[in-house]
Amino acid sequence: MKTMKPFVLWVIIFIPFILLSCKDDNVDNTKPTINLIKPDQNQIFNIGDEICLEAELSDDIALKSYKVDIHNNFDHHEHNKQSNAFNYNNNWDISGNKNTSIHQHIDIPEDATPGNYHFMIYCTDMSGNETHVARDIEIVNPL
Amino acid sequence: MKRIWFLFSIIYSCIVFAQHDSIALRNLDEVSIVEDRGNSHIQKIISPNIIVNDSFIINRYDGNLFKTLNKIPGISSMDIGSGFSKPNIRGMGFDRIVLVENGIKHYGQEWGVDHGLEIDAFKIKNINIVKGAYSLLYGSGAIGGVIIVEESPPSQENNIFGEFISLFSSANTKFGESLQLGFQKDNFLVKIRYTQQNYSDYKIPTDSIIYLTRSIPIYNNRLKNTAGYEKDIDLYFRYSTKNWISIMQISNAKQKNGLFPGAHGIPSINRVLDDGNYWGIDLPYNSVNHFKLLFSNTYLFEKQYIEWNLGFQNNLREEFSPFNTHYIGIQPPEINPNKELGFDLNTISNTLKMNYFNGIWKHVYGIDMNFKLNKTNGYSFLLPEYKEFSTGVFFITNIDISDRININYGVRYDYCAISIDSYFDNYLKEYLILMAYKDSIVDYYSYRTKDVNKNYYNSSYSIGLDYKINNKNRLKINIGKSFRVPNANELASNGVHHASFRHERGNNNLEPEKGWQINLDYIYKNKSLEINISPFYYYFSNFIFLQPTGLWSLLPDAGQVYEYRGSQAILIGTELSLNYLFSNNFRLTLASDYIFTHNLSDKLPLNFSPQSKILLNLSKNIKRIHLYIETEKIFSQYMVARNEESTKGALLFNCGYSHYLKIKKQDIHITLSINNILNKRYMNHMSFYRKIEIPEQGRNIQAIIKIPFNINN
Repeated sequence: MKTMKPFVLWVIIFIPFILLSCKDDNVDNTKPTINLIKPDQNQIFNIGDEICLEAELSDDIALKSYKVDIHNNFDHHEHNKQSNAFNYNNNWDISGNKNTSIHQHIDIPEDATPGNYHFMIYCTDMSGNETHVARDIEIVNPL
Repeated sequence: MKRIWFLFSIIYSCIVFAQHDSIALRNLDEVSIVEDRGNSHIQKIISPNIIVNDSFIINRYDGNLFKTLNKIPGISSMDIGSGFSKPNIRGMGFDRIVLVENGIKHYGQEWGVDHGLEIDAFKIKNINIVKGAYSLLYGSGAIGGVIIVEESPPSQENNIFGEFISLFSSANTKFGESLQLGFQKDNFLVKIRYTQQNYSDYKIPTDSIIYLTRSIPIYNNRLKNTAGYEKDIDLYFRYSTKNWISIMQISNAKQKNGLFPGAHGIPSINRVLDDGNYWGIDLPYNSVNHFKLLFSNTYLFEKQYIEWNLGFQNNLREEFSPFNTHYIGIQPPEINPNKELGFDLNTISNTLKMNYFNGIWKHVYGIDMNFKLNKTNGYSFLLPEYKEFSTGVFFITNIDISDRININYGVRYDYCAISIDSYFDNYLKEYLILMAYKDSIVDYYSYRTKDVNKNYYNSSYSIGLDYKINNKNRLKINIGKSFRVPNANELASNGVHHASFRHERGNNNLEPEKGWQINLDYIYKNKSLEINISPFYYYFSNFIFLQPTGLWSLLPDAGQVYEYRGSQAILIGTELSLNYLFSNNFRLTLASDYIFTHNLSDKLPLNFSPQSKILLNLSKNIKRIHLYIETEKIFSQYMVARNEESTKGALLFNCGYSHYLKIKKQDIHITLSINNILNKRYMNHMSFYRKIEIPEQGRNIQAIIKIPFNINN
């Protein structure tokens, strides 16, 4: 057993290092949640109408901000000539809230190119935790 | 689950197993002085290290070199599809590890998650992996560890020699061939090796993945457009006289591999449809060519020798991706419209070392100089153009106090000057104008980086003790301070890197990374049992990593901006390996590692913390046959940085058969192996495709045949 002594020694030396560093400090590592009610997946919108955004955002500590990003998802081989695809990128401050409901209308400009688009909503909390949700939408010429 | 695993290990210990010939737990200072003089560039250092030889690489080959090394405790691989991997030593990867060949550091674009190391796995005879900082000898980059590629010593007599290796791998239908030819005549040795590996889209055990909260289908379990190839050539000359050795090595490694289009730019289901072409490399893809010219000289005197290593390297990395999957509604560039990124890095390295020795002590004085010049092109911006000059002077001493006690200490002082050029992004400007942003915002964001000029000075030191307690027990302790100069990408990158799927920004106020390390290495050895425990404790007063800023990025498909910032951090862990030889040629090998990482400012773990693993290998040698069965338990990783996902563990089963045949004096080495026998769907926490939930490759059946030949005159 004499030979095992150093082994035991080093195990003992090593353990405090782990205990020292494992203390729990209640760090906020929980992401905010996004409950995206509108738009629906594959929802179709007319050019000139507006996209209705409805969502519930919440966080266990405090929300910070959210961002909406809409960009096209055209067939990538043809749209070189498309110059006026509809792009939308905006963000809002909701600092301090734990829960919030958002309801917004985003205009689709008259010169928007019809096609498939991606709708994305991002949300952060005060600690920098981030969540996002994506939807596919389609923009068409009105009948 | 734990119980089942335990049961399996018991059942397996009743069946077969032997990695005896493979991993040699050897200490650097056991390298004999003759070898030290002539061939290797190793100074004695008391740090845990492992030497892996070519038969381990052949017997356990798993797709590429660094994935193969994943089986070694303390080493993990960061996989980029099935073709390439990046090494990670004790939780430190990227620019924190140095690959050394012929005394010269390998300079590529190691900072990128999707950039593998460009080296031919088959040309390696021995690979020496130093765990822990080796800054004294290799400077800034060696803060996490060093991988030293060692040449085999030349044979004593004149001969013509060579070898042929052929490889097949089922998971990505890879075919590889490597041919070496050489001859030795008196003082002159020349050898040439050509290696080629071609592989198709790799198979994964899943039918869909998640990218940007969207489910993307995977057709026929093949990950589209992940085919690729690798072509390496290596020419080696050696001329030696009684007290002079001169080596020239010219090598070129070319790699090209497709990138999964479902995860590049804006996601689109159309782009992942099965096209029936499993071998083609379509857009997006990346290609890299690494050219190396190394010149190494050793002059021997009576009680000293001088080593002089000179190297030139060119690393050309290019990434191609359709312009319109990134910028919408803007006219693409006329020349090379789909070239997204291009990095052209030239490096000149020069090292001079003077070694003095007598029977008791050995001193090394050295100077190390590197000059880097990086040029960029492509429509996208990630890394700026820069020039970097770094130099270091060092002094290391080894003293044999008695037969049992060896002490080693050293100091090094480094200087580094980096000059980064500003970059104005016209495409981003057009995009931002199109998005109707205000002029002030457009101007501010279009300057991807401003001019940055920085000078860094730093010192590193280390002291170590190697104590052979008795014939069976041995203890090594090493304490040292090391540093790393921030890279150009940490100082001035700016953009959405498709590898990390977020907007990453450099920070030109960064201080160098500084760390204090304690490494312990305890070895117990008797006739049949070998135990090795290597705990380590690293404290960084400044550790650089990406942290969320809370500010939204204006770039498409990006959430908040992440910025490189320094923070205090600790990394603690241990490796344990155990090797037991039963009386009847059965061998049981256990290899395990654990790492705890923590950044003290956020009180959160660091990102890319390796998953712990336990490898249990039972092998048996029957004459010229070597058989093994292996279970590999990969633990879940719940220690994650902010906005990093946790990764579930897995239990894998592997087995293999090697036969060292001898047919009429001709040696033939055949290896058959199956990795992930049960075709388990699992993810590697550190892999490039982890973020989009693409699992690692499924069951992989491999066959390798190696035919060495040797004609004596």
